[in-house]
This record gives sequence, structure tokens and C-alpha cells, in this order.
Amino acid sequence: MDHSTAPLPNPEHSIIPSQILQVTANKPRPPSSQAQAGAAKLRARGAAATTPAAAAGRGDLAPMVGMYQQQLVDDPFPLSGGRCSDQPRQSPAPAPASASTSTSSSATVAASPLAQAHGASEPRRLFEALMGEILLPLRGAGGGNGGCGGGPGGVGDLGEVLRWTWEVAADPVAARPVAAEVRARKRQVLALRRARYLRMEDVANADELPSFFKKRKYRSHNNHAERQKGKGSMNMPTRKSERLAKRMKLMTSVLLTQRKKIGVGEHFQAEIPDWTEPSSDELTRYKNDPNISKMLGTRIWPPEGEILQTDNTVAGQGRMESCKCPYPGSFFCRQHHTDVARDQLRSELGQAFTEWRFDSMGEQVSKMWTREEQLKFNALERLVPVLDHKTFWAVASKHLASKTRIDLVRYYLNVFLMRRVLSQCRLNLLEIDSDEDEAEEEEDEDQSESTSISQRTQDVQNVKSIS
Amino acid sequence: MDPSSAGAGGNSLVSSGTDAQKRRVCYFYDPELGNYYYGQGHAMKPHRVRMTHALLAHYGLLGRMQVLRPLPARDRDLCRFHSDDYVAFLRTVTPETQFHQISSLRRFNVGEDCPVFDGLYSYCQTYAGASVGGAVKLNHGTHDIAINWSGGLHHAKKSEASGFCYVNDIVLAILELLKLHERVLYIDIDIHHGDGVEEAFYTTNRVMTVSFHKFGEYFPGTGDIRDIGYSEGKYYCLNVPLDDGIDDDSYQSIFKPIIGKVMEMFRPGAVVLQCGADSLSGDRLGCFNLSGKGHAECVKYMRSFNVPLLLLGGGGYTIRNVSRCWCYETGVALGQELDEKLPFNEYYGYFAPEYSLYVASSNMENKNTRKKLEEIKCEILDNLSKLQHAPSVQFEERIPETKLPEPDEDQEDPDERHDPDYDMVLDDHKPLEHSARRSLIQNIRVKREFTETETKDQHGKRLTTEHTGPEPMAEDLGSSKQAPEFTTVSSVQELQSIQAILDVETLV
Repeated sequence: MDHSTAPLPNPEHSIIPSQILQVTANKPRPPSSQAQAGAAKLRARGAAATTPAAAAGRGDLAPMVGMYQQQLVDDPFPLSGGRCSDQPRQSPAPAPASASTSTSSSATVAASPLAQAHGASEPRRLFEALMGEILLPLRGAGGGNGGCGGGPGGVGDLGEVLRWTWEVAADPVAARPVAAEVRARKRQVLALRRARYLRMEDVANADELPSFFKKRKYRSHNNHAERQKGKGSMNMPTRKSERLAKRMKLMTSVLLTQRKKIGVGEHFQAEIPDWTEPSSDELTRYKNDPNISKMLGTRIWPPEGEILQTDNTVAGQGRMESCKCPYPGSFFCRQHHTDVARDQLRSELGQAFTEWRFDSMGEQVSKMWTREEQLKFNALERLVPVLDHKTFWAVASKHLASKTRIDLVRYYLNVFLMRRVLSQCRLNLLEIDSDEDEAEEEEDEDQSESTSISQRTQDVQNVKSIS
Repeated sequence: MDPSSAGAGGNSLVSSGTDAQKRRVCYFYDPELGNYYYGQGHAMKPHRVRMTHALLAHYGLLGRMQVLRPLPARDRDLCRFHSDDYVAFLRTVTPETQFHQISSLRRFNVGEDCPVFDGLYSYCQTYAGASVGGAVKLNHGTHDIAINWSGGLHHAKKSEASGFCYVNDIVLAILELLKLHERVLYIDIDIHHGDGVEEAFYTTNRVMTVSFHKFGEYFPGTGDIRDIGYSEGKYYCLNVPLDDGIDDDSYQSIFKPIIGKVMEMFRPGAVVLQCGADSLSGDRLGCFNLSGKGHAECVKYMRSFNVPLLLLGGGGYTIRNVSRCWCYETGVALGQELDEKLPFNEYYGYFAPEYSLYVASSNMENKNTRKKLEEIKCEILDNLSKLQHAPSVQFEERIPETKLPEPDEDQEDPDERHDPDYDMVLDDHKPLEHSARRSLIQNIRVKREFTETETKDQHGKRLTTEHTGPEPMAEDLGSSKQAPEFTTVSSVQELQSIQAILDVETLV
């Protein structure tokens, strides 16, 4: 978990997409220690990173708590911008003595950062009542509760929950004595978070976008069976609570998903004119307007001068049941039949075959690559952890200097991925996934060795047969 | 699954055309598109369209259609919907220069899920141009069905990229169709909610958007059943929220009745069907359990209405499945049966070991209970019944006074937050950026103020003088069963306030 790769001096063009990631977070760590997607991002983040890092380093809890107390005492509606960034993001070292002192000394729910937003009295009452309900199940359950009796009825246990949360944040991997209590506490914390963060879209520093999670996420996300469902779960600035939850090793799916709003107004809707039935003149004008007809593009089929004939050709036919190849089903058999099919297509389509670039599809692309180049590509792809997106293309470019980026990508899509599917089949993997750009993490060590050996053999065979 | 019985509702509308009758199909394809590359590890691969093309070629289907190479859309075509600065940004940003424009990246939500890659702008121009071209084809009346598998990027917003989508080709195509058709129907069977299209047409009654999607802790987060449109567009938006693992039968049991009713009530001049293939079983990002045939059943059904039809792509991240699905659906559009055994083709290896055309479903658990689906269906059909048959008949006289509170909301200070449950302003003076600018139509928050001004009869129904139409009033849209299902209510007070607000909602 602790590999922090240095930020690259020349970031690749594409920033790591987040959509594949499982949302579970691991141990929280200050953002500054994460590998960055790009130098500029690093710079931008550096500023934000220092504060929490420093604060964590100090391990000094008191000023933070005092801050909230202060806010509530002075001003029910803290108006300072960037209050969100004051939130406890780092793992504060718990100072139990000071924490419980400060919590119990607060007359209201002041010590809880959760309550800080609710300055006005009526919402605060609502909030307190809400929290009281949330805390109800645990009240009186066990004598371990810090006896923080201060505060309006029903929220006395808040300090206890808070202290527990801080402890967890400080050391998430420590064994917790009572599993049942842990579960109950977790539920409480989440419910409180819900109460605190009842609205969507806390927009925060976008340089806090959790791209730095990606490394961690990929490593923890090495199971084929577990996939990230939920495209783009991080494509918008996530709510503060979600980010915080991630650091707490909890699934954000547990958080309340508030009903997201549709934008209304000129910034969102398309402009639509009122409808009037077009006259036949207008219709003709539309059909003859060259500007509009331009959008039809260029007709490739049927070719110029020919008419579409739909009845004299047979369509929809698949492959034959069996063939006369010496080794049916083998690579050579497939290749042979594909070649035959392509020849036939070429003669049917004529010019269109070229226009549609059938010559740069599939194994054809590998014809432009030497055996060595292909082997090198495969080796690179396997050696470099594929999770490390940027590095792969940079390295590949360097080692295959004669190939442009486009060449590499073309080879990758047309040849490499396809062959990988085939090798997966050979290994009888239950789940074939041509698209998993992430390296298949083999759970069985033996299997992984044999994979690479047989893969290499297969690659050589593939390459040999073609060149 | 027996299509003939299920399709009965559709066919009843059709004066000519049956399933068997041929359709004139045109198909847009750009051979360069397969080489656009979102980046290592990114789930979206335009390459899948090329794989589809190869399958179509070797099945002999290309010869049955008019095939066109699209003209890339120009700036002004894109600006028909998108804002100028957003288009300008897309045009100028490159992988090398992007880090000089961090604030723009953030503002337009580019750089993460929607990465900057080589050729981004021409990619957008191409797929958008193809969709608009398809719309023009349909407008010309020379073809019944137009296909653009590279399109269907339904998440893109007016000034913002989202969910791998930069330019919303669907909106552009619909705007083109609206030149000659009074009403256009948009149907979205991608597993993700079609939020970009819904938002673009949220306030108009000329476009009806219907989306079937997974809802609940899932991207993009919108698509609640209670989102039904706004202002003139109210009731012209349908959202069908589904849960994991829905299978062919369950899906059709809800798709066909709803769409049948929609076609009957709305009577569109043209239909746009977004065929996102991430609703297929085994999708890398999806969690539904539709088979290829089940997915194609939707296409078959829409075809049977014999209304000009634009078929678009969309999501789909297991490219071996996507390509087979769209190939099969092209066959459906053409009315051409295809052999189950895939023909040899350039990408044959991708389809190992079965080399079969059919995408199979799995045995995953279907979390959609019949009861739940019935409830959803009933609620949707109920909403539908509130439609007048055609918007040319004014649905109700909108007295200006009734509109006042709503436009005010649009002009509200976007920095002000309204918490629906506590009805107070939560201050957060973080400089709000793009996501706050997308402000906040609060279906829930509607108006506490209204409750004061209206009167109730003894049954607790709202009476107002504002509506002159025959619409029956105060039909709570099943609010009692709504609230608990789609939000987590963590306190009695929340539930009560939601209840109260939902009561008011019918007023708008």
C-alpha cells in the first residue's frame, strides 16, 4: 500500500479515469503523500496538503475543537469562506483527555463539528432531536460511555461517538475490542453524517478531486469479481462527507444519496422555438438547403452511380459448421478463414473496402510490426504494472521509438487486446474480459507463472505465424 | 419471450408497416473513429464501433443499407446547444496544454472521467455530425431508420462534460428533428440515466424524454421517478428507476406498456432511441442482466411503430458484447435475421471461445421484485395520463402569477442553499463553481409559501383557482409510497416534511 510513485515530469495526456474504482478507501492518509497525476495538480494540491499534514504532524487537537466552539459561540452562521477546508480532514491524534474535556464542557453540541453549520436555533433543535433519535439505541448501552451529560437532552452521548470516531480516524487498522459495538458505532456515525451533510454538492477545492485515491484503489481492486459499478463515481467534486467517508474505509454507497437536482434555466435547457407547421415551401427549402444537406456527409455505399440492391445478396450468414482445415479451431484455421472472408469482402465492397480502412483492422495491423517489436510490446505491457497508466505509454514510446503513439494505440486495440482474449480462453479463465486494461491479478501463484510462460509461448507462436 | 404478444400495443397504432415490412435504413460510420483513445484503463473505447462495423460487413449487412461517412459538425452546429465558451474550450484544449487551464478543466468537468486526449475535438465533431446527419436523413424522408453507433453520448450538458460525454449529439439531433416535427420522443435504455438530454428538454412539451436506468447510488444520481419535468415540460419527462439484475422479461414487462402508452398519448413525429449497451449482462460498469436479444427487443418494438427512428449508441464497456449487440440490432432494424454463428471477421478473436452472436444473460439475482415493478409502472402510467394528447392543445392556462415563485428560484443567488428538510438557508460561502451554477430546481422544496395561500377542503385536497384545465387536482402521486423508497428517511421529522412537501408538489 505504501508505494508512492513519484509524480512524472511529463504527464501523459490522459488523466487516470476514476470510474473503475471501487469506492472503499483504505487507510486515510494526508493527500500530500499520494502520487499525482500531473505536476500542476501537485502544485495545486501542495498548498492544501501542507495544512492538514502539518496539523496532523502536530497532533494537536485542541485548537481545532476550540475553533468550532468559537464559531458557535460567536456567530451562528459562520460566514467565512472555505470553512469546509477547516474540516478535520487529516487524522487528528487523539488527545482523549482534552477531547472529552472540551466536549463535556460545551454547553450545547458545540464540540461536534457536525453541528457547526446549524447556527439558527430552530434547525439546531431539529438537528439535536434528530441526533437524539440516532443516538437513542446506544444510550444506556454499556457503561463505557463518557458521561457527558452536558447539553440538551438526548445528545449526551455525542461526545462519546465523537471520541470514538477520532480514535478510529487516528488508527483505523487497530483492532476494536467489541465488534458489535463497532458496527453500531459505524451506523451512528453515518447517520450523523447524513444529518450533518444533508445537501448535495459541497463544492470544494477541485484540486482535492480524489484522483490520488486511484493508486490505492487499483491495488485494492484486484478482484475480477468485484467491479466498480457506477460509472464516474468520482467525476464530480464529491461531497465532503463522501470523501471523508472514503477515508474511513467505508463505502460511500452507505451514505445517503440525496435527490440530485436538474438544472433549470438558460444555462441548462436547449433553446426550442415554438412550433409552426412548415408550409410545403418551407419543406422544399429545407430539403434543398445545401448547408443542411452537407450534414449528410459522404455516401460510401452504395458506390456512386449504383443503386442499393437489397434482394439479390444473401445476408445474415454466419460461418460454416465445419471446415476442412487440418487443425480445426486452431489459430491457423481461424487465420485462414478470416483471410478468405476478407478477400471475399474486398471483392464485394471494392473501393469501399479501402475507404472503410479494413486494411488496418485486426491482425493486419501486426503486419507492420516486426517480431521483436511485438514481443517487446507484450513484455512491456506485462512488466509495467498496467495500473500505472501513464507510465505504460511513456515507456512503450521510449522502447518502441519507431512507433508513434497512434501506432501503439492501434496495435494495442487491434492486436494486443484481441490476442489476450484468446490466451485467456486457452487458460480457460472463467471470465474473459478483453477490456480489462488492468492486469489480471492471479490469485493462484502457480497459475500466474504458467500464464506468463504460456502467454509468451503463445505470443511467439502468434508472431511467428504471421511474419 | 414472445414478442408478438407484447408488441400488440405498438402495432395497433400503425396504419401500414408491420414488423415484417422492410425499412429503408441508413448508417453513419467514420473509419477514423475507432482510433480515438480515451486513455489507458479508460472504460470507454470508440474502437467498439469499429468492431461492430466489421461484424456488419461480414454478415453482409452493409450492402443492405446506405452507408455514409459523416461530416464533422462545425462549431456553430455544436453551439446550437452548447455554450460558446465550452465549445471553444473543447476546440483548443490538448493533452499538452491542459495543465495550463486547470480552472477551465474544473469548470467544464474535463480531465477526470472525461479526459483530454489526442483528437478530442474532432472526435466530438465526428460523432455529433453523424447524429445530426441521421436526423437530417430522417427529415428528408428518404429513410425510415438512421443509425449512428458512435453517438448517444447522453450525459453531456450545455456547458459541461460528464460521464465520458463531451458533446451531446442527441440534443443536437433532436433539435434538428424539431425543425420538421412538432413532437419528438426520446427513449434511453442505457443503464445510466439520460440526464443531459433530460435537462436540455426539461421545460418543453415538444420533446418527451423517457429513461430506463439503474437508480440508487449510481451515476449520475438523477433520474428519480418524481422528476417529471417542469413548467411547460411537466409530465413530459419520465424516469423509470430500476435495480440491479433486471432480466429480459422484467424489463419488457415495464418497457412495452409504458412506451406503448407514451406513443399513444404523445404521438411523436420521430423517435430517438439511445441504445446504450451497458444495460447488457456482464457489462464492465453495468449491473443489469439483459441478454442481447432482450436489449434488441426494445429496438424491435420501436421499429414496429413505423415512425422515423434514429438509433444511437451510448454506454457499453465490455466491447465484445457491445459490438455483438449493436450488430444484432442493426439486423433488427433491417428486418434481417442473423446466424448465431459469427462469421469470420477481423476481430474474430475477441469473441472467443463461443464465437456466438448472442450475448447471454447470467444467473445474477434480479433485485427488481414484480411488486416493485408494478408500482413503478403504475406510477408512470399515472403520470402519463396527465398528458393531454398533443401539446398544441394548451394543457392549462398559465396565469403569470402562478409562475412567479418559480422564476424567482432561478434567479436566486446560487450561493444560497436550501435545505429541503429544514427549510432554512445553509450558508456555505465557498465560491461555488460549475456544479452550483447548475442550480437547483427543487422539486421537493417547492413551496412552503404555497401552503399558506391555498385552501384545503375537508379531505385535505388542495383547491386552487389557478388551473383551468380539466386536470383532476390533488392527486397525490402515490406520495405515501414514494418517499421511503427513494430516499433514506432517518427521522420521523424528515418523513413528515417530505410528506408535506410532496402534497404541495401536485400544485405546480
